[in-house]
Amino acid sequence: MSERGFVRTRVPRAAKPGEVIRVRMLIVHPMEGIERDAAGNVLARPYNFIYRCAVFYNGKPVLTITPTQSVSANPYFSFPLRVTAAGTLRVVFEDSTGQQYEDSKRIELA
Amino acid sequence: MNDAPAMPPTTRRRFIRLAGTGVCATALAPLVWIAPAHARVSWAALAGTYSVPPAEDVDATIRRLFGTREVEYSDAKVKLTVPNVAENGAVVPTELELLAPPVPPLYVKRIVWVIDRNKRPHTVMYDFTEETGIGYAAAYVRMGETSRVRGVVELSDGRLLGAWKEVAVITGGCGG
Repeated sequence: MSERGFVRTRVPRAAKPGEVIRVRMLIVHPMEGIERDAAGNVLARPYNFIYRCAVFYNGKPVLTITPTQSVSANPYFSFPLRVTAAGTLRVVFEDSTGQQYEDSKRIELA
Repeated sequence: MNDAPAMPPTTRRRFIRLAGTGVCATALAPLVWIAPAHARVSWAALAGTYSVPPAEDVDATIRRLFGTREVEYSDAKVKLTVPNVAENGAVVPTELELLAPPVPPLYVKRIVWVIDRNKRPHTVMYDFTEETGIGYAAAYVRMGETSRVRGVVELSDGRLLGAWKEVAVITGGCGG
């Protein structure tokens, strides 16, 4: 559960048609910040951080998040979603090493 | 079933990734994702030669993101929830809400967080569609020092609304 890449997506199990739900996402990831050497110069190295998150509902892209190294480690994001049909919410995170992490959750119509 | 739309034209990044790892790139559908060059990770990241974007002044960040458009900062329209004092600058919870949600067909197109005194103020950007552009977003951000935190909301009609708050940081969270 604390492994890098573990994604937790929290959504209500069901929603009334037209209802706006709150989606919460957490992903375990170091989100490496910019490091400096003793002299204060920025260390140029390939930092590993999540730079993009794509969210799909029933296959349609509904949101893109573009974090930078200024986002906290184990990033948390939250956004609204208007549910008009039952479906699957899928989130895909990609980090700067090219690794992708994803999670899917089913939302039914109440 | 491949639930991603048609593959985008092969950009250099996708080509390298496909060639290097053999992984099908349809996992990420081509979104209308226009991250500013500053926040866009160069394809070279995958080759292990990522270079840190240059430090930027907050005014330059705002100009780069929004051009000459004025941002209407109004606490009556945009509610930015941040702590007054952040013990740990590495994890500062922030929440932004449009107090009057846009009436369809108007929707929130983009929300951007800018932290004035971070060396690279551009922090995180949400790009919405009609299904998600209701006017709320949250993120946990890093702050290097006491600074103003700004949230800017771009509506689908091009208007810019925003709110800012000063957050005192006890222990800086940027490490550098």
